[in-house]
Amino acid sequence: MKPACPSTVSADAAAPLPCHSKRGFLKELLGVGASATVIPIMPVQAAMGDQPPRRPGIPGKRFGMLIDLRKCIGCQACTVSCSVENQPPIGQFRTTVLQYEIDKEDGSAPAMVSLPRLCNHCDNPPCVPVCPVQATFQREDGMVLVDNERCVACGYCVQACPYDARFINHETQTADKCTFCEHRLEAGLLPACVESCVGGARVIGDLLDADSEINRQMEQHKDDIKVLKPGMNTSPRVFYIGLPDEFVNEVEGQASVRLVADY
Amino acid sequence: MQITELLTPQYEAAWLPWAVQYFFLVGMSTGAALMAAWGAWSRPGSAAARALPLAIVLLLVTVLTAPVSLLADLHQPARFWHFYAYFTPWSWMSLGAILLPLFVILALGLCLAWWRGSLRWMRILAVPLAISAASIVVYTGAEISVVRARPLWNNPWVPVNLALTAWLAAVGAALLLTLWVPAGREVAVRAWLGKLGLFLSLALLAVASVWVASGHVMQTPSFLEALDLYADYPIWRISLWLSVILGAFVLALWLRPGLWLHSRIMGIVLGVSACAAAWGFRWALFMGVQGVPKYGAGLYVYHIPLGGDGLMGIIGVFGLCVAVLTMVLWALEHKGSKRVLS
Repeated sequence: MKPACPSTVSADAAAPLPCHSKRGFLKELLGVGASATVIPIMPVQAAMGDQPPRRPGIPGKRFGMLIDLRKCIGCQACTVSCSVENQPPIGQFRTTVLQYEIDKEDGSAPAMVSLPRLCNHCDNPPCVPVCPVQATFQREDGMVLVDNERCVACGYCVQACPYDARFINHETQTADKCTFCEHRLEAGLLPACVESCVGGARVIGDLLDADSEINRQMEQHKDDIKVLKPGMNTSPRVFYIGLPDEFVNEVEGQASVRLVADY
Repeated sequence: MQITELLTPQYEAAWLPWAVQYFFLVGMSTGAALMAAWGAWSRPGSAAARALPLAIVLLLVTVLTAPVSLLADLHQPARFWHFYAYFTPWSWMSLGAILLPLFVILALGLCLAWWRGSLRWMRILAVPLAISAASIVVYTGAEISVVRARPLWNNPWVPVNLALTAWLAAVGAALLLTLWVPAGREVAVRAWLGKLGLFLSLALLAVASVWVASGHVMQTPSFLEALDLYADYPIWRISLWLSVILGAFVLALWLRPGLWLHSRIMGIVLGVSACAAAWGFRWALFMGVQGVPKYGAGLYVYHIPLGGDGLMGIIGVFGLCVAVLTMVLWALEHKGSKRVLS
């Protein structure tokens, strides 16, 4: 994964799914034909599963988050501060830190992996086009949000998210997810999880600003930047430093204690 | 290297057993619609035409109850009008919100035409109804199979299996209806149902074989995930073998009509088994697959709640089917003309 300097972001954002490239090819062909014959061709209406147009956001920005796993101690301060800030019901989380024990066969002491998880605010979010009422949408600043007054809570977006980042909120009975604390960002504050992180493991910033802290750190660690499930072609905008290869796609291991919502 | 999860949240199923009920009932209703359309266009006196009352009763019951389960699967059912206020043509579910009411209206229209004994109107309505039934099969299948996050859904065999099992259940349910609808007293009609059932069972066997063969050769993600589940979890092993046994039992009975054609009990057993196979497939596809973590290890254990979102919901929908069926049978017995009944 290259650092997300502006050119990389836009190049990555434009990277189409295989099925889209054929359509793109046909559209281009049509476009060439149209310009040759001077026949105006209206752009084709969105096809099944296409991303709808983004809605206005904070102008000129594209937010992303970088999580340095070397600095995460698994204290769950982010989980707690997010829950205090955003008030999800007990047992449901917009962000949380998954914790794993790794036992090596050489008899060395077990290693611990703490993996903070939240919505990836993907550049190609699979949760958005499936929504049957356009309640979930993406803004031009990249944030994927839910209008929970429009949401019918069909749960389709929960199914479509490859990262289990969404849930049906037991109290509002609508789809819920991390918003990058957009209400705080608009007020010039950091997201609750970033502000409370004791190790400074979470960095949020503008991927379009070449001088932003996130881009600076991404450039510095460009060989060790990974995203979750790159094969899903979602182009996540939450990046990790120090993510072991065994954790990139899915965890093959032993399931243990789970937090079960008892409501 | 051994990885052990120490702390991860439990992710709940977002689609509840209501979804199982909806896909079961709406699938059966497409089968009933196709049977009814076939019957309407068949030569009067043929088995398909004489089976019409069975198809019509099944169509009426399922087409009225399926949308109820669908509505209940929304966590905000009162907001269903948002589907029409914010139409979203690039989402299969949104298309479904248009296609389903159209199907219901056409199905009710055909039932009405049959009630009035108008073969002309039945034939006029049968054509768009068959197309509409196909549209329901396409949209319900596509809705599931476009979800790339779940490999067990994201493959072309899921819509085919949904359709074939649904139609098998429709044949099974029609066989059950022969207990109450006079048209089912004719052996020729039951034998015709048996032929349909046999064809569908063989088609399912073929599709399952192609899925296994292509999965084995091409190492498709859905096949690999199924293999992992089979290897790691007794519940998936038990489910698979149960469905194989049930499928083999149903197929064996279709192949030996002598065993059930003249036996009430065996007819019931066969009808219930065909329906149970289709329902069980949907339970595994929805509730089972939602328990497979997209990222984490192990399975998310689904504890079925006893209330409306769980057991009562399941029983309630079947209860609704029984209630509608009772009313339809009452109407047929007391209000129907002799022409309609036979």
